[in-house]
Amino acid sequence: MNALLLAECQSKFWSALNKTDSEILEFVCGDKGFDASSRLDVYRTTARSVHVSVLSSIYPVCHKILGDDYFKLIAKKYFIAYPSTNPDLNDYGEYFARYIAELIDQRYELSEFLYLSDLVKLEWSIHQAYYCQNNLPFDMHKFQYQCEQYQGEVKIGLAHGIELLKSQYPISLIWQQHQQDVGLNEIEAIKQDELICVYRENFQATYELVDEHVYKLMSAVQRNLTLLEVAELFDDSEELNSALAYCMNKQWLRI
Amino acid sequence: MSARNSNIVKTQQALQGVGVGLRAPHVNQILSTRPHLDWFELLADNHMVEGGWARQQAIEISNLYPVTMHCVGMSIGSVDPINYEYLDKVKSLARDVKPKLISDHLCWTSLHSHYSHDLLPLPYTEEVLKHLANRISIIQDYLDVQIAVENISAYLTYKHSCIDEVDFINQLAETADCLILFDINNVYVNQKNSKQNADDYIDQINLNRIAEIHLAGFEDKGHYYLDAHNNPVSEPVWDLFRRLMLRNNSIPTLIEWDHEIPEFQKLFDEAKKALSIKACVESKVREGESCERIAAC
Repeated sequence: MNALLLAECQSKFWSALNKTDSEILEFVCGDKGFDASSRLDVYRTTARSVHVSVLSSIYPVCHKILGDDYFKLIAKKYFIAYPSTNPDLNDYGEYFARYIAELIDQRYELSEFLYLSDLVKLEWSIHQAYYCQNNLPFDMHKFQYQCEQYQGEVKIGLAHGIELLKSQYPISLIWQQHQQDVGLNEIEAIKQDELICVYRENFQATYELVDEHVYKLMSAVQRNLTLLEVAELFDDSEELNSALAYCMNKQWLRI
Repeated sequence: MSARNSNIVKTQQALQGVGVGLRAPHVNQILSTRPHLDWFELLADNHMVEGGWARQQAIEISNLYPVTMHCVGMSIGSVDPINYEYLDKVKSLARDVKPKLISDHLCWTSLHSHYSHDLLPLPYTEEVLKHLANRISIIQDYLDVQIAVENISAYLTYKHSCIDEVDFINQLAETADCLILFDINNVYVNQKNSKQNADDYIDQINLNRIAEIHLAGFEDKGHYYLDAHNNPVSEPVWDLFRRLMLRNNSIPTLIEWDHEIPEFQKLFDEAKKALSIKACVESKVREGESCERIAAC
């Protein structure tokens, strides 16, 4: 047998790992009790189960809602469609909400789960907040100094781990109920969108429902607007000041 | 190929005795009860983010015990470019916990910038030996420290492999001037899976390069053993450990348990068993006992 160069060997192995391609088998030792194909299957199974298990740990509520079999089916398909691009497994699963949204459009059995994509976004945000960098307390002196120096041109940022979500479904309620193992039978759209801020406090990821002013302020900060531009979004400066004070107090902002 | 860089920090054999792999469910208990253990091994990838509770745990443990960092993401054997972003994270964690040793595996885990998150086997050829030695040298230079590479458990071997695994890893350690993290359970698992002779492996591994020993449990799948780390260390693996201890009983040893993680006490008991075997071998060797009697330790 000709020597197989490493690059070719890895390329063939990788194809076999993720698809049904089996060119690599020609180069794999096997015996009667444990043939080459079964040996390769050990790796296929492990790779799938590692990814499915990670998705399950990041999206436990989605897993519970869809049931074990259906969740694993979807997770396996996601694994093929979205291979991991980071050695850090905690970063895997970022596009699961998008994938679920596509499935909801395509599959009739998911038609009653219109809220699921937003719920998955909430779960991802909570996961991200848990693994984000630490935040320093908001530096009021630096903020005041910059306001004096640059006035309205000052920009502030969202603290690490902050994620803003908006949903026409009561996703926070669904998430909460599932933490207590209480499922909800029928989920309907609500009259007023839920506005949610996910953040981390004392090493725990959590969320809070916020009012429209806080949401508007934080969305503007997220869009990298200057304080002057942010102020223009508010009719009433009291509303802006109140929202700003609230966010600073919650350590949701950084300068 | 220049495998040796005189500037890298040689890992000191500062570790002693027996350690346990740190697992999240045990951290609070360890921090509050401070069990008498020689050191802990951090699964580095679980603590890479510069912040959060996982990083804080690693720092707090490292303030109380010597620690080592065991990585899974260097993808040392891959033909992909080296992932320096990952190595920067390794460096950052090392700054925070000051590990006695940094290790990864003799395998590849990625291709075309996609990650399998599994330890994939390499063929043992001259080409691969050169490839690995070169990459290990680059990694050691970048991290500015000598690293250890671990022999992996494998479920397949390649027809074009032309070097025995033990010779391969011995040669690699010399060429790359790296250390070996010697996993005895993996040697035993591979004996079943690929008919590699475990006794010969134990007798031939270069002791001068072994920085640490791993002991773990496997799962018997019938026609093969799965390196599942979900069981106590098996008796045949303890026997291999005794056999190695006869050659050198001072190599620091670690108990690993990754799935179906039991109460901490269970790992602690396994660590005590490893320690008692080490002590028993030492005393019998000192008394000039025969190998048969030492094997009864």
